[in-house]
Amino acid sequence: MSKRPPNELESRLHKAILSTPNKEMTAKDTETIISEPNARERALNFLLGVGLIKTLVDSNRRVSFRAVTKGELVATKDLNGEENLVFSHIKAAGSEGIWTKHLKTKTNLHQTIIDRSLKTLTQKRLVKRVPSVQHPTRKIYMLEGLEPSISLTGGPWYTDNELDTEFIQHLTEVCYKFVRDTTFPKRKEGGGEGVLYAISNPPRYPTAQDIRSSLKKAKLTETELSVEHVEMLLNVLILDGKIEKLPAFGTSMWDSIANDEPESDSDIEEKQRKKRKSKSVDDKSHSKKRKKRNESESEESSSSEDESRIKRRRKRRKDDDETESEPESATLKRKKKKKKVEIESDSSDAMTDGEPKKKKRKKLGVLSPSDASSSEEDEVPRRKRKYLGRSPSPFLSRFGDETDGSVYRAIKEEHLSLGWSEAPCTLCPSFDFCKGGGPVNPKDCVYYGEWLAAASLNAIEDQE
Amino acid sequence: MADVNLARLCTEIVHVHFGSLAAQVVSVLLTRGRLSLPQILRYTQLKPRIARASILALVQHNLLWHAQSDEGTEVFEFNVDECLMRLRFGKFVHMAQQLFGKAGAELVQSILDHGKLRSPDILRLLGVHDSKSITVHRGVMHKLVSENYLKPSTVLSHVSPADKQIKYEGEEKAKISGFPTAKELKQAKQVAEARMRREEEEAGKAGLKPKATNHAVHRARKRKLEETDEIVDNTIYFRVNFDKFNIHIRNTLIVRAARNRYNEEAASVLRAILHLTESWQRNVAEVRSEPVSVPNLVVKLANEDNLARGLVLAVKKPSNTTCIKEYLGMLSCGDNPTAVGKAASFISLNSSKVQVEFDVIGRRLRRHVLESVTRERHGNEGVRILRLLMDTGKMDDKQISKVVMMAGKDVRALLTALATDSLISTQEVPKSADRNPTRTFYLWYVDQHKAFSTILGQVYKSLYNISVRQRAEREIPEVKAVLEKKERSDVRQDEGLLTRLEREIAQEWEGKLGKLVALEMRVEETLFILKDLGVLGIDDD
Repeated sequence: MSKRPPNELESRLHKAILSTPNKEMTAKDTETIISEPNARERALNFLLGVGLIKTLVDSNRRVSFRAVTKGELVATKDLNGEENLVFSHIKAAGSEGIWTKHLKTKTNLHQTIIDRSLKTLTQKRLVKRVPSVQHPTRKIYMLEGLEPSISLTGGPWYTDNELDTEFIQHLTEVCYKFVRDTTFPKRKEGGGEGVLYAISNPPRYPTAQDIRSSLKKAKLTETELSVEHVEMLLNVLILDGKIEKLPAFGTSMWDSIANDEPESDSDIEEKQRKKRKSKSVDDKSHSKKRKKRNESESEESSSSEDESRIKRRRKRRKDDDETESEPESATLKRKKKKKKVEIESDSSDAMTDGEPKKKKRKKLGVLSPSDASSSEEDEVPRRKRKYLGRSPSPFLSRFGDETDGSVYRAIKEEHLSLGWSEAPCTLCPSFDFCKGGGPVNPKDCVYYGEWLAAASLNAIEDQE
Repeated sequence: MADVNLARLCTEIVHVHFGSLAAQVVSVLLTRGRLSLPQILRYTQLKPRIARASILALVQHNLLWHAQSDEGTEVFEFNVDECLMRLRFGKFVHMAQQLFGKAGAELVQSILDHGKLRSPDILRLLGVHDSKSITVHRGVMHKLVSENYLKPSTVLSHVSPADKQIKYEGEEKAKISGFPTAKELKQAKQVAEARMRREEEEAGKAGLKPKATNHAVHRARKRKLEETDEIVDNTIYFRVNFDKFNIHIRNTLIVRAARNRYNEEAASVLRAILHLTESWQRNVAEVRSEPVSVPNLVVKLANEDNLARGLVLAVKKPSNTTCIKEYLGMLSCGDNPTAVGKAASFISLNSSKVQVEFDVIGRRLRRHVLESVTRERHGNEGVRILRLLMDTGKMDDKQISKVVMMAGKDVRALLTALATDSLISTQEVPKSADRNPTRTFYLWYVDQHKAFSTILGQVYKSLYNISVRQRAEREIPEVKAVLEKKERSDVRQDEGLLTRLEREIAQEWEGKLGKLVALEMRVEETLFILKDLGVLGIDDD
């Protein structure tokens, strides 16, 4: 193998291959650089000989060449075969790094040889050892110049390879505060103790994206948080029972449900009776009932009372929309569409048990395209689509593609005072040993003594 | 068969209510199962006369069931559920007072005191003689019986329902020819259950009889007079129908939960729905209430003028109807159509009818108990893990630590702590056929049955401890002396006969008694959620 430097033709070819985006060139493309076949063959042979290019064969058996920079060549030049093997495997692992045990199985080298090679490679500053969050005991190596991937560092929640619980706690609290402030009415809006937003007049509940941007605005941390990270925090809050996740179309759906029940008192009574009957009787009466109901409903919908209510509601929604500063045309379209849907669904029988769900779905299908067209939240669904697949509810996953995701809402915990927890027994360390006549017994239990001597019981909040 | 904690608690309750001799009998019955009289005599070593008297008292108070042993001798079995109800007697009397006034409370109390009574006996015991109060008491009595707060005591109520179930099922099975299939067996069981229910209902009707004089006259007016047509049968013994009173306890709990979750006004709407359907509610095992129409509800709540106070609406002066609809939407989680929303709802809204979902609420209340116990012992982190496992099922500890965002070592410690309290359990999944522990996945999950039965056992034990402690406090020599002195007829008339020290001791004792009784009541409430509401949702996992 000649050790002469590459001549002008050869270095031109080398540079040309290097300048391509992936540092690769097919054999055919090299013809454009050196058109004369013999010279080309010589140049390629020389470059292959020195190791400045390597041959690659793809699945179609086409040969292409990959260029190796001079720096790389110099670095790997004085490695022996084993070191080179080890180095190439580490290189192939990329930013994920490779565990020494995997290295051993892949290279089929003896442990001591691998250790030696790794030592020399580290000394030459070609590779480095990186710690892993998931497997703190594993020896993982990767190329010196690379940044460890998220799976090794653990993402923003880890500092110095430990879960930063304080940081997480802090951020969760901020998230909760944000959600809570939007969920419960402020004092100036007429909110007082225990006042809630009405279901037809909901505030704009925040999505994960909203929370993310507000966290960003608050400049709490240097760490860049993605929507996934914010969702992790929100999931913790859900598990704590502090907030709940609800589909964004929920409130609009409630509106439509609430709208289509203009029925008079006696009518309902009658239906109730009918329903009871129909439970025991067969399907025939069911279909008859449906027919009858349709008739009665068409009468009702023409009644003036009903119309005025719809008008009122429409007006109210308009007010809402204005405050939300949505484009007027979009809302108008939405309204129209919703109205249409209502009429459609009215004709379907709402009496059977499984019906409401079906109705909801139906409405949803028609509604959501118009919903999605509302200006600002347009891009959310695309980003969120992949998480929706993970969501536990089959309902969501089925319609996930059409909705604009989920919003979050704070809830007051309906946590009943647990009477039992007031007894000293609940936390008694020797509860299991406690036995009448035993060394620990209820008759002269010291905890009861303390408890009886201590302050009085909390007042019961209500007696009905 | 009762476990050791339950057996101790029942014995303690009987000891407090009936004294030590009856407690001995009960203790033997609970530890050894069904016994005949000679066997009871042998095990308790009581004199026949005393044992017989105790048994009679217990039978009178519906605490013993009669049964026939295989040899044909009569044996007794202790009725545990009835015994546990005795913890609620105070509550029942209080409720009767609120529902039916003072006369109702007196009637219920005297029946509770005597187990079962005929209506003339009650009046005699209460010392009601003047005609005016007799009419009042009779009226209340009629109301109590017609609204099922009292039920007639029949032969049926002295036989263990389990026995009957077995017997009827056996009869049904005997009818099956050939080798019975699973379906046939199931059918036989259902038929037996239906037959029992029918018998029970028939027995329940026996309390009222038609008035003799009114029988033939005025057919047309009969409808109007329907209620007065029937009078309370004087020959029938009545006992308190605990199911009906339990409904009120449950409804109070539900309203309280709604108040905590939403606000006072939402709770009052829910209370109105419960109130409207109250007369149809028979026991706490019902899945949902009868439907109520929204207009009915609006009429019922017509006098509530501050419903709008708890809402922020877009319109300035909303009508009551609008507000009620809003509250109904909230209570039914109308804006959250997911499974999670369903599980968090109080009511279901079907076109314009409302039903209270007792099943959903009951499950949630039980879950809250589990969560509170966890919170009490393992803090918020423990609850977080528990809720995760309850929502998702089985999970590996690494996965758990990832989702709850806690360090792996903390999670592992917490998981084992939770498992020692039986709140969570492990499922082993071996990777290889040899079941080597190092090659096994350990998945954590919440075994609700196990968790709840453990908690229930602990609640029984706590109740036992409280009761024993109460008795022990009473039997401190100084307190005992003072209490005995207080009971003397001359001291009862003149408190001044007690010295200052004695009065202080008496006061201190009363304070302690008040505290212990209050504690007992609250623990008993937990028992109610776990045991009585436990009939709901027990069969689904």
